[in-house]
Amino acid sequence: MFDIRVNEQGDVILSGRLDAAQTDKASEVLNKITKSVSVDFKDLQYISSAGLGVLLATQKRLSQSGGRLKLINMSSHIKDVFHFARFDMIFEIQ
Amino acid sequence: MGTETLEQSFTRSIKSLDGVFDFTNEFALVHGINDKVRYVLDLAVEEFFTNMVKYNPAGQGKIQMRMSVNNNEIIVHLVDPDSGQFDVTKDRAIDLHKSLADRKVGGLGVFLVQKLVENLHYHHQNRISTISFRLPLE
Repeated sequence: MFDIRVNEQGDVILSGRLDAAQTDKASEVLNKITKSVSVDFKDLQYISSAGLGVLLATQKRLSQSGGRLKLINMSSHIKDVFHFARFDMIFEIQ
Repeated sequence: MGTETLEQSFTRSIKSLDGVFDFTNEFALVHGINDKVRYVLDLAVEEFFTNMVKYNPAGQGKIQMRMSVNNNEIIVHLVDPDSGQFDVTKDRAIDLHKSLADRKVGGLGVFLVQKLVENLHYHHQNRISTISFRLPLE
């Protein structure tokens, strides 16, 4: 089960498993982001390359207007995937 | 020592992923697989399964998965009974050092799995594609 929501501060909260079947749901929310925000991974258990693609597309779009995503509270497993993909070079990860 | 092979077939659709993960979850519970190995197992299975669906949507028949444990290794087979050739063991042309503007995700999934699994093999004969790989249990 995957869920994505925006909290009162405008930051994005992810939970569950972001696999290839969930990218439309993720894009629907992320496409509405127009400024720099944090994306909280605390309750996200899993992400595949399909999910990485959605985040990359958002980061590219925001960068055109000087914005960016900051990724926070990642599990070590997910951090490993970002590292292997060298996505730690194009996202700020805290 | 080997264990009984678990086997299941899935309709050629991204919507089948929930069932695929139910299958890997059942396998992980039976064998006490830890979270880190489970993550890599799910990632590898998803990337290969979605490739089979995405690049061969008109293929006939279900995609079959077989999993077992032997000598402290998980052994996984994915079989597409009706497909052209797509060798997942070939090097992916991914430039990981490109700038944000030039980065693309295409091919990233197979690239990641090539880094994370062991003994990745691909066999194609009579339109049957078989992908197999191993993962240490620890």
